Amino acid sequence: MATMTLNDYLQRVQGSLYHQNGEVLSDLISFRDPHVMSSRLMVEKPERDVERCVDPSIAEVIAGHLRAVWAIAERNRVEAWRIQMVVVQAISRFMTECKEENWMLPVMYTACLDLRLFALGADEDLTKTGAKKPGETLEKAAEALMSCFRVCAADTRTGEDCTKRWGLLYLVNQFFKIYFKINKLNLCKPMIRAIEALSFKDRFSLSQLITYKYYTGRKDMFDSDFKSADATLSFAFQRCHRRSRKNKRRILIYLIPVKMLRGYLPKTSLLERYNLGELSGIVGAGRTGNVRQLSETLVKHEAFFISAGIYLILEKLKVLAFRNLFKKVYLLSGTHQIDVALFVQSLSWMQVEDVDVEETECILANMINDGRIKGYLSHAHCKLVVSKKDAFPPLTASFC
Amino acid sequence: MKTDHQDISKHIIGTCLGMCPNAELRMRQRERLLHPLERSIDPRGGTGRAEPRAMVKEFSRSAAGHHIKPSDVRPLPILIKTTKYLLTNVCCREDTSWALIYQFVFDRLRAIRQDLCVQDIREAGLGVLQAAVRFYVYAQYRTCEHDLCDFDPYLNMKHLAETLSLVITLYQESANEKNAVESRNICGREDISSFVQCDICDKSSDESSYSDDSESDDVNESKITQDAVASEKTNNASKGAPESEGSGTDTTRNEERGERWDCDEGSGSSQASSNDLCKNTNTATMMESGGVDEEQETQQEREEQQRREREKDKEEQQRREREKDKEEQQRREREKDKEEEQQKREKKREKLRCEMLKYSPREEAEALNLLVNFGQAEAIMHVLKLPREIRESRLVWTALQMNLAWVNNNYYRVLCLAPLLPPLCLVAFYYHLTAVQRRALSILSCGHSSRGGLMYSGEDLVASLRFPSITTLFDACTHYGLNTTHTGVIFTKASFNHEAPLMKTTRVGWIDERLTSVSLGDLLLPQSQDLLKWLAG
Repeated sequence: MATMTLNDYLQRVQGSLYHQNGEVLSDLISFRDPHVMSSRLMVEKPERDVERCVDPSIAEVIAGHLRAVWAIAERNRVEAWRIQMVVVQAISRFMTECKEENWMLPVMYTACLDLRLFALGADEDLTKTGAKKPGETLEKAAEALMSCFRVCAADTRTGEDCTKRWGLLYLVNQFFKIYFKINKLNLCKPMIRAIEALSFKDRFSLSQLITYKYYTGRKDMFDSDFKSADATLSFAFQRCHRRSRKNKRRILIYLIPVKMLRGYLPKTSLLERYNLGELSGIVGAGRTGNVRQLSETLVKHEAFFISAGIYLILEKLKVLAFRNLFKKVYLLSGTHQIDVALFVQSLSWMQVEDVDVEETECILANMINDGRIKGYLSHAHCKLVVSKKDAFPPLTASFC
Repeated sequence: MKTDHQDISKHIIGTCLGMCPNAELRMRQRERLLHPLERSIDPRGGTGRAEPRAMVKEFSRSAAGHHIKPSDVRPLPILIKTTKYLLTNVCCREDTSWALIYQFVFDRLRAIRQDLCVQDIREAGLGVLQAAVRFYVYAQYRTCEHDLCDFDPYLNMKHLAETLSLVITLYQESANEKNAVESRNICGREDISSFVQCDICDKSSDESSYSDDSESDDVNESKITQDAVASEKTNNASKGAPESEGSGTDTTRNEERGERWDCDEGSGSSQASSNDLCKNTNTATMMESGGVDEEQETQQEREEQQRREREKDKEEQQRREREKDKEEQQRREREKDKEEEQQKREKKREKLRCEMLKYSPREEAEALNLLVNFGQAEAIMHVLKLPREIRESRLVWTALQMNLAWVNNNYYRVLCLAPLLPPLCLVAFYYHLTAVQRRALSILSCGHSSRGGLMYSGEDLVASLRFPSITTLFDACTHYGLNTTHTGVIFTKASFNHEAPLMKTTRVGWIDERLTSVSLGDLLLPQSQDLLKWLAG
């Protein structure tokens, strides 16, 4: 394979085209296939040779691919990215020509994946020199992917077995990866709408579904829709294969804070199994109501939390810790009319900076408003009056 | 490098050396298309003569295919000069209405921004752009009470957001150029490889290694309740103690009295015992209508009893007074402690406020970004990813703390920190003040809602929620459906009207005062910053 001649390669391409074999053809333009190591395929100007042997409908794609192989061999990721953009657009034109068929979808998948990966590489190279703003290559890649998206989405008149709409989920997943990387989450919305409108949205392959759920779950988190995020991320985690540890860990990084906000704490064995030591400090602090430990852990593993994008949610967990702390104060006080000064005292022991009676009342009022405490505050008497039964309803019951 | 033809056309270098290109000067003068602020002031009140030196290039949309002439474009030094003129000269004019000034400066700034864009001036133009941001922020406050015809808040905000986001991007770019490596700490490299895997894996097993921890939570719950039950028991036991203490003292007092009896009258104890005997035999004696001696004895006993009771009462009174004094003392001490703490807090805040008066241009831009986009997760995440020195500078740190507090609906902390901000940042935050107050009122209406209809002191609310006066507080409360009395507010959960629109922002005395502490020119173009020698840091 690694010593394939040009002729050999082109014959194979032609053959797979003739037999409408999408899998084989997709391998032939994939950068994860060993053929890209063959020096005989690293051709800078392959157009003439390609046009001679290969069908004109796909000639542009193949020529582009060979040129990209050459560019990668020259270690020019930026040029490879540019060429791959052309390849992807050529593929979308090819797909438009082939009506009522969807055997070539794997080809589209491979080309789009390679485009995204090249765009990432080109981005690195270009930002290092300061020539471009970071993320620009990815934005342009997204535009190219849009052309494929439009072709697939427009294929509404064909039957379910040969419609190109089956390619939509893969594309949407690629879009998600790009938009999350360049931090433009609002652009995900039309994508999600397109998928939800499909009648066969539950019959895609499991791996694609899991990826989809992972990203929509993260988007829900960003929109503070924690109930939906919980359902979506749980699906992704449970259906993800046991051996895909890295992926499962990735999902857990987001699932655990969401679950915690809804009142469910993970077992330490789970955290150990997936190497999530950073979260164990948070979990422990939340469980016991140790606000100080929570703040300290947030500072200690700041870089990790910020890069994963969960810092803000973990800040929200402070409310959980306050609730557990206040519940202890309530139980210690033994009465159902508790002096707010006691709460202030507990907070200052937890080294919460500068907190006074007013701020404590504010925190308590918030808890009552969220349904985490049943009762009311009397500002004039400076007391919290709680309900005699079930003053601190279980966390899983209240909304977040 | 990109060699598209588009790039070449962007790199025009302007050659216009005046605030207004000559062609435009001539055309507008000829067609009498001058803005009032470009005319000299006519003492007779009519339209003054054209003042060519006061003319500034106006904004016009670049038409498609229209070739831009270098003589119509102003180079950077002229743009800086024009900005200075607009913000320190025009804005500070006292003789015309602010609405007119705003309209003029807004338009001319737009033209300046356009010139910057056309010449592809990036970081070098930061000074001008940040000055424009300051103008938009200030205008937002100053013109908030004007009619729509004078001031369109939506349009102002749009330009503010655009310019501010450009400023932030430019700072980031210039920082990137300095240290390319640092900016890449952000992306998780696992991203790429781990998800290529996901494309390949296609498994359908239903393994769930996750355990939703309702069980362990229950275990914890039961543990807590066990602890609670245990502690309640000890509590009750300790509650019992005071009573026993009381009885203890009683017995000692009895003993005391017994002793006194012994001192006063030798036969005290015998009296006591005979007393008891008398109690038992009294009835018998009464029925027997006992003799005179016995009557005398009973009278003596009665007097003794009365005397004992009086003594007892006096003791009780003294005891109560002692307790009251102790309580008073404790209360005074607590108040003194509270005052001391209050003073300490005030001092700390004052220190923070003074520290925040010194900041670098980049810190100001980042802080403004956090305050203009108050509460938005994107802005917060952006700041969290900034290098430590900027993130921890006093100004940015405070703006960040305000945002983080707001994420948890801690309106109190937000409103505590807000007044400490320097004037321009304060004005940037002020735009969101009504929203913060509204949510605060809705949370209070739930948290302080009781069946008894307890009243929350109006004065306290005014102080903590930063209303300018009690009347404005009551206006807001009525607007949101809350009941008010003479001196306070009665919060009831059901009465807060969530459908009521947000109250309009108005100018407010204490902010106006803060603004007057700095001259407008200084506010918009701080003297300490030389626009020409601009760059990050």
